[in-house]
Amino acid sequence: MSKEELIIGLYSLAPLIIAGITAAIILVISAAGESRAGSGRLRAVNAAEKLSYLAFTAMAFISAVHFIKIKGPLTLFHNAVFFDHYSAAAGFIFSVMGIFTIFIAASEMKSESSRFQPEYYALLLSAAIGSLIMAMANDLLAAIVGIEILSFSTYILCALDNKNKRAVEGAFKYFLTGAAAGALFLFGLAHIYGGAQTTFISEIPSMAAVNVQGPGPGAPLLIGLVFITAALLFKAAAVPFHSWAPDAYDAATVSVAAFMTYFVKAAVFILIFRIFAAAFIFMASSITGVLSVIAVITMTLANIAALYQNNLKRMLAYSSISHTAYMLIAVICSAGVYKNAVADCGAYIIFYLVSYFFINAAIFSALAMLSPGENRVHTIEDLKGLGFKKPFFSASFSLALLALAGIPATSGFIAKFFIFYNAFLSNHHALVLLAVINSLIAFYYYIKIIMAMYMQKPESGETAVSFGNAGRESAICLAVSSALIIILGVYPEVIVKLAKLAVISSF
Amino acid sequence: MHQINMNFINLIPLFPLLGAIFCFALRDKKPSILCGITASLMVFLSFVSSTASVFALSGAASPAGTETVIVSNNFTWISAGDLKIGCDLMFDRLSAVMLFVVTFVGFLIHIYSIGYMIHDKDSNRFFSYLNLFVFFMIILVTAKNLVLMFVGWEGVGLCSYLLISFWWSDPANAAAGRKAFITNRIGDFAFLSAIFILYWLYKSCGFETGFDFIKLAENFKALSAALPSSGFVVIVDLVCVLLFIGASGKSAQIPLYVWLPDAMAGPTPVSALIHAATMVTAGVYMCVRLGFLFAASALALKIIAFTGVLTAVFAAVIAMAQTDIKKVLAYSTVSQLGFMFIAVGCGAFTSAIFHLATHAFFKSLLFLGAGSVIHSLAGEQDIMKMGGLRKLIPGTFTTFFIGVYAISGLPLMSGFFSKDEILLYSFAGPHSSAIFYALATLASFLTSLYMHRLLFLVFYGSFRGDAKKYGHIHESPAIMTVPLYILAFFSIFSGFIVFFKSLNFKTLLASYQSAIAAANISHSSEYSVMGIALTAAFAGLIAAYKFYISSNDYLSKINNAFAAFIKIQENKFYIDELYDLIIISPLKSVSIFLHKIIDVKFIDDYIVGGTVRGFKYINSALSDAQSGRVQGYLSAMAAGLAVMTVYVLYNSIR
Repeated sequence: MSKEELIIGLYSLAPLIIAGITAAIILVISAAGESRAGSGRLRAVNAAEKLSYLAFTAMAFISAVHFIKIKGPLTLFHNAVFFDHYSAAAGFIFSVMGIFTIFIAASEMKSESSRFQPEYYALLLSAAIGSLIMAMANDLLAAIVGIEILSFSTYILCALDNKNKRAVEGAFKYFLTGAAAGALFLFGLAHIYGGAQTTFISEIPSMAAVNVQGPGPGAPLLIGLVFITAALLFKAAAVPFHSWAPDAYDAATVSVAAFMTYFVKAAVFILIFRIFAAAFIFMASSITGVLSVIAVITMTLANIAALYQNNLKRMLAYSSISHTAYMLIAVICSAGVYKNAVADCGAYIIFYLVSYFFINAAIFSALAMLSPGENRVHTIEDLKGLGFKKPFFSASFSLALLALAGIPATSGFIAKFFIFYNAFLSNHHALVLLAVINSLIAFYYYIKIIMAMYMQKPESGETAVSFGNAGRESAICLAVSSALIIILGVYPEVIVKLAKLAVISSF
Repeated sequence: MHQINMNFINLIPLFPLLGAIFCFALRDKKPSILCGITASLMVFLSFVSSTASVFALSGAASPAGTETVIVSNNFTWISAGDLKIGCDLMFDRLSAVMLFVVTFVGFLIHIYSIGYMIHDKDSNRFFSYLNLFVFFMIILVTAKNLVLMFVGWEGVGLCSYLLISFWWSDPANAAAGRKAFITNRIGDFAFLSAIFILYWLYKSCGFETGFDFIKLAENFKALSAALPSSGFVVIVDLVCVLLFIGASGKSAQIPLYVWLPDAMAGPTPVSALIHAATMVTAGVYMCVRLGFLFAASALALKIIAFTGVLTAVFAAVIAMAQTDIKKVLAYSTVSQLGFMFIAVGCGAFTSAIFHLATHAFFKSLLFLGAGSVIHSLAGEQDIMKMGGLRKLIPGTFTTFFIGVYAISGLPLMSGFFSKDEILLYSFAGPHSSAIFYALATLASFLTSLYMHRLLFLVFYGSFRGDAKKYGHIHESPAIMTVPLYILAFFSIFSGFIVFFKSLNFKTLLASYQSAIAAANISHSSEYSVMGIALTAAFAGLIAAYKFYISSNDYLSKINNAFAAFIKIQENKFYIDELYDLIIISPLKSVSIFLHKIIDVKFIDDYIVGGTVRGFKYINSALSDAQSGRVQGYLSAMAAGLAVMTVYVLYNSIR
């Protein structure tokens, strides 16, 4: 490795390095004896929070610099990682998501009664490391390393409240099934290596052409693709690989649930799109049928399961599953018939992730502001009668819900519109129709929450939740996210253009 | 046509609109005379501005042989593709006549209403609606294009609805308003269809008119040249018939007249202004405004004249048996509107407008007089409980007397001149017919008969009502009687307008009538028609005198002889019942069927409810699947993966 290579390697990995060092420092802080409880814990949490802010801000900044300065796609470390606009954009998005997550976590971390430890921030940072590796991976082996780093961080985050049996149970189920998914990925990877003699994303198409005899891609590649797809669909929570999601969301605290909805989902979809568009687009026709069926089943079952769900976090888990299906449609369409299909679909997936991020940031920061008391779940009943009592809170929360439902003038609408329109152009008419019907079904359970806030009275006469220790941070996050929902809904062009640029220059 | 641009005419509709807004803002405040005065003042200002416009119009120099029109091109209201419709007004001599009627009669009725409505707790709202009505009526008569005219058309319909059901707390009044509204919808549907066909007709020949009346008229000749003549005639016939159906809804002609008698549920000034003098004549105005179209459709003219003559006779027959003072006048209005349509159908557009104007004076006079009678009898409307009021309320009596004489067409009253014109044209006009003439004369006789019956029953003989009430009978206050005197003056003298050659009334609509070949009417036929008309009018008077004053023998004999017929007549020939039987009841049964069976049972219960039950079922199945057992989760994953693998491999070898 020459000196230039080393320098550019360090430059490209700077966000990971920052995240790693910061995580290590935080672990050291929390390891100190007096950091476990009382005012010592609070001090340690404050310090860790400040440090992780700094780290994420620096990562965002460096990713932005990467995005601006990179001339074209590069592969580094003997082709193991990509260094391109796509990975830089992903790095920037992950960093901003990290900052928002810390905001949302503030009220549950910093209250006097909280038992949560400063490791929380170290785990966030290590999750970011995993996601960054996923976004940059060229070698599928690197990708699985990234996936596992992200997954393990998430398992632990879910179980953070280790005195709560429900949380531990949910996290453990997530871990068990997640381990199975990791095995699927590796199994699939072995088959791919058998078929194409390579594990590099960028080389699979050309190597497959050389190594596979006879018509079609051949059984090893097909089996490999199916298994890898299944593993990634597990991480994205698509039916029938979704079962972990409701339990894990329910187990997790509000900020961790938020983290799982947008952060994990974004990391997984960034990787899915990379693998699908860069490595397997030549055999897309053999997998799109299955993916379409999965998309339809996923959105339908998720929406129906959410219909009568009273537990808000479980409902949002199902909602998150249904949104996976919509993004899956864009993945399917990237193998579309018309020009620029890859660029458009990639851009629309990124836009969807960004829009979905802000919407869920708003929703979960609203949930973070509610404090239903120890070990109690958020239910729709908790929200009854809040509408006119807390006008700012209720209006923003309703706005975010409407955005999830895809009402015009919100980013949720535009994001869905792009994907559906694209699917329509790609002649997936039935898929669009079913997706639209599903959006309609979903509207019911989103509007149910708004109805509870504005049109129903709490049974006891008093609202069930208090805003006692609602952090300032959550309110700020709610306000900013709501504003961005509207801004992106009215003026999506900037993000779409940048996303298109990233995809075009990287693929 | 010579157009001069004067934005001044925008003031005419503006004033009543401001008044309406002002009064509406005060609708919840304590009723005060302020609203009445403001509303009246606004209509008066509008009258002044339209008078000023008349002077501007007559003062404007116009090239020889052309007609001058004041226009105000304000702004483009609708712009869709290459269709541009302006919010533009025009003021020509036809508008001038209509505006004089609307603003002047409207002003007098506003003044009268101050006295009539002073005790009503909602009088502010009343004046707001009344001013709004005047606004829409002015829009209707000054609109420069057909679409804007339709706005006024619908607007007056709305105000009519609001004012008929003004005392809405009585369900009967609300029902009457609804009936008027729905009946008018039928006509409006035809009117709208006509507008669409008209657009298509002009468009297909490449004319961009924006429905502008002037352009429509100018391009009409070229249009007839551009289309094959047989097809053109069919389309123009269709348009004209549809337009007439629209007109017959608003102007209460057979078969759509049924709403007008019920509309008497509104306050009496409303009946006078909207349901006698102005709105109901809008149909006639529309036909005349689009005279160039109707002139080209002989079929439509025949239908119009026939409908008019039928309505005139039919309504007159019904009017003879009515006992409610306002109902008699309502049927009389229907009958007189029939006369106007006879004129239209015979191609005598000027005569139609002439009768429209004189009718506006004497019919609003009669209604206001009736209002004064009702007012002095504290709400009594049954003429069988009146009688001998001549001495008690002399002012009302005198003016009512004049009104009756004018409408009966007795010599030298305004009705005499205008009705004579119509009879003359039905006898010798360009589209005349002996049947039309004979029936019109019969209607004229009946008019005289039932109007005198009304006069004699109310004012002559002895009081038949509650003796206790007798002592309380008093003349209405001056604020109500002065408008009566003024209207009486015009009821007498407005007919003489034909003698003022300088006003040139006969050629009011020269440009429109030119389409119809002027008939050469001889003096002999003029005099003979006049003689017969006078005979008919006097015969009506004498018959009424015989029946209702000199002795009751004749009446009871007739009553006995034709008892069955009179029963039918009293019940208005069961037309309402007939409509109920053939239209409303079937519709209601269909509606009930759709509601009870289709909506509630089928859609709500099976489709909607079934969907909900289905979703609930799947939902509970899914909840069961989400059991919390990791074995189950992993089995589902494995099964899914197996299906995926088999599917993909199977697809690849196929």
